[in-house]
Parts: sequence; structure tokens; C-alpha cells
Amino acid sequence: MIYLDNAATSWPKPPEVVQAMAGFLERAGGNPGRAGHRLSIEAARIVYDAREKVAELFGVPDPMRVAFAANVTQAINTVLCGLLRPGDRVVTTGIEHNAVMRPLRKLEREGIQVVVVPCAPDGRLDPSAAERALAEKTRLVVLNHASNVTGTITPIGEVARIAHRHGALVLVDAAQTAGLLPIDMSALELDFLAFTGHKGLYGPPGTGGLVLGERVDPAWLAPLIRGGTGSHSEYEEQPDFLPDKYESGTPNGPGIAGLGAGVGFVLSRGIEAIRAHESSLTALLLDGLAAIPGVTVHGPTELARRTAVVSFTAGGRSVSEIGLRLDDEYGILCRVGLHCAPLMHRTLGTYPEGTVRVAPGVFTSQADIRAALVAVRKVVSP
Amino acid sequence: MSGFAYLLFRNSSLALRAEKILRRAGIPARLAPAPRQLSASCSLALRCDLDSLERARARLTAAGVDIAGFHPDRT
Ligand SMILES: Cc1ncc(COP(=O)(O)O)c(C=O)c1O
Repeated sequence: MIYLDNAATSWPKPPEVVQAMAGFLERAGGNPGRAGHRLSIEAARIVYDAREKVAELFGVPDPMRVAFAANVTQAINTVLCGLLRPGDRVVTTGIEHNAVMRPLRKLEREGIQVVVVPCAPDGRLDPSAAERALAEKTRLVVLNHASNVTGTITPIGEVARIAHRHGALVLVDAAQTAGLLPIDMSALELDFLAFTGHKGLYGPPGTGGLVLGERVDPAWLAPLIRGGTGSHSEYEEQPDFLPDKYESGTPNGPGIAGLGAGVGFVLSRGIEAIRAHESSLTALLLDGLAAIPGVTVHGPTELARRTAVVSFTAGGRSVSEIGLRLDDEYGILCRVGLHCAPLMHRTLGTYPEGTVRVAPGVFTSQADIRAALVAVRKVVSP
Repeated sequence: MSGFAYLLFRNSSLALRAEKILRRAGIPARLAPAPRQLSASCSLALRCDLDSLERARARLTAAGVDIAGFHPDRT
């Protein structure tokens, strides 16, 4: 079996992730931050260590600015629903995931103006188009750091500077890039970074979080949910300090333990090494697919402008049929269809059929890619 | 409580951060339940030797850690 669906969730996980999760349940089963006994302290320590690792990865000096969440979707909803008020204007791009578009379409019905800046057919955002969209007063710019359909990378640093010049805040959806591309919150001038734990950070599903930039005052952002935090228990009002304001309810302890180990794996292997490995696989994949008659590869060809997520179509062939045959006959697992990003497929011109998406990861080998290319050639040949 | 001092924080994350900073600075301190008479707030406190309290406070303040309270408070 060859797993090529790492853009949906990475697999396998590094062994230390599995061990950290089991270890949490076996040795640290207390409720973090709720009691003073040793099992609670041990659990709180594991959660805190994960917080520090995430802060280190994203260049955040204060680990309290990292609030854990169930996934990037929850983190994105926290910002969109907690920050925007009727009358506000929000600018976003043509490559967004439904994690952004669905809350925005709901907010639009409540009187928030949503402006979508179209991207080029390969998913590229032209910063000057973003700048034109910012001519009117805008509260927030929401950017997908890299498309989950074509891997196209958005120049977030450049757009963030433009947005700030126009007085707008910036939220980045780093679902596809955390652990793969360097993200330094301060250097890139990001205000909100939403990440998921189960893709390039090699943690388990059900983990992720929101990082607040240094200039962001938590008073601007209402929490999505309220409840017990283990702090200020004498008050019936939600704490206004970080990270408690955004972390009500018992956290996903084993998940966060695994996330901490996954981020530790990324830090010790090194983002540059991971990126170099995935880029070499991407090169092989792009060249190999381009050489198969009838196959169209979508998205940028230049490696520096893309991640390892590669989408293709094969003339009028049904993508679901291709996906099924790759799985059944060759044991190659990839994802077909719209990938929760109908807007992106409209940008690409592949709506409503979608594409076949091949997404290698850190544990994919060159041999895996070669085998996948042989299989694709056989499946699409007339 | 004689012989020991307690440092209080608004949440357990900060208590854990403070513990690490003090350990790195070579100031012995351990996490312990906050004595109820001192805090109704975060259930975790850092307990250190009475003699180390001033050094611990200075170190944490320098590191930007907000201390919600400490005991004994002689100021
Ligand atoms: C760009 C992008 N945003 C958001 C998401 C949603 O991630 P999650 O389901 O972990 O919240 C994904 C992945 O599915 C994605 O690729």
C-alpha cells in the first residue's frame, strides 16, 4: 500500500507521536490545570511543553499566545466569528477551503461584506490585486497559505504588509504549510495563525490551534465557546487572559501530547530537510505526470511556488473511477473530487468534477512515487 | 507554611512556565496545590524556600512572567 493522501491527514505518524499519546493515558491521566496532584501536574506539563514547541516552531516569544483547538477549522471560526461585526469588510482569496468560506458566507448573511480576490488559474494570488481590494476600509484579510488542491503558495508576507498598510488585520490558514514552510509570525507580521495538528505537524486528528500575533489584543476577539478553564474558578465570567479565554473545557490531552511529539519531530528533522525531501518528490511527480499522454497537471510547475500537493485530470476520464482503480488494483491511496474547496476548483476550471490529488509526505519515498506513476499511466491509458 | 514561600499565577500554563524559568536559573521550586487561603484562582502554585522568594520574583519579573501573588508578602 502506498499512502498519498497526506494533504488530508498525514500517515503514518512518527512512532514518538504514538508513544506520547499512550504515555499520556498510561502515566499522566489527570486533568491538566484542574488540580494540584501529581497526575494533573504531569498532564499540565505535557500540554505546556507542547505549547512551547508550537511557539518555537512559529517564532512566537510568548507561549501563552498559543491556544489549542480541535483543528484549524475551529481556530478559523474563532477568529471570523469572534472578530467580525456587522458592517465590517473582509477580503479573502479564490483558493480558500470551506473552513474559511462557510463561516464567511454565514457572516455575509449577517451584514459582513465578503470580498473574494480572484486568483490566476494556477491558484496564484497577485499581491497588487489584493492591494486593489483593500482600497476600501477592511477589518480582516484571510489567506490560505497554500492550496490543498494544487499546492500553490500564497505570498503571505507581502500581502500581510500591504494589509497592514491599509489598516487591516491578517489571518493565515496554515493547514497545508505548518511543518513544511518556515512561518515566523513576527517576521511575516501575521496577526492570527490557524494551524491543524494532523497534517504537516504529524500529530493526531482532533488537534490544532490559534496563535495570536504580538499586536493583537485578546479584547478584540470573543471566544467561540465559554466554560471551565481551571483558572479564576471563583468567577462566573470567562477569563480575559491567554490562553484560557479560548480554551474552555477539558483539553484533548492525549492528542496534544501527540501534537507536541509531532512538532518535536518536525523541529528535530528540520523544516528545510522536510521541504527539500517533499520538493524532490514533487519534481519527480510533476515530470512523471507530464510525460503521461492525456494527463493535465494543475497548479504551478515551479517548485519554489508550490508544496507537494499535486492535482491532475485525464481528459474527460472520471476522477472517481481513477481513484477507485488506483486503490483497488495498485494499493495507491489518493483523494479525488473537490477536496472541500469548490471555490478553488472554479478558479482552476475543474468544477464540478474535481481532480485526482496526490500528496506525498515526509515518509514517502522516490520508489513510492515511481510506482504511483506506473499505476497512473496504466489506469489512464485508453 | 513556615519555611516555604508560594508564588501564585493566573493559570497553570504560567505556573509551568515559571517552574521552567526558575529551574534554568538554578532556583529550586516545585509545583504544588495553591493553599486555599491564598488563592481561589489557579489551583497550581510554585513553592520555593523562603530564602529564595526574592530571587525567584526578580527572575520571573525579568522574564516577563506575571505573578498574580506571593506569600508571605512583606511588602
Ligand atoms: C487549506 C485548508 N484549510 C482548512 C482545512 C481543514 O482542516 P481541519 O479539518 O483539520 O480543520 C484543510 C484540510 O482539510 C485545508 O487543507
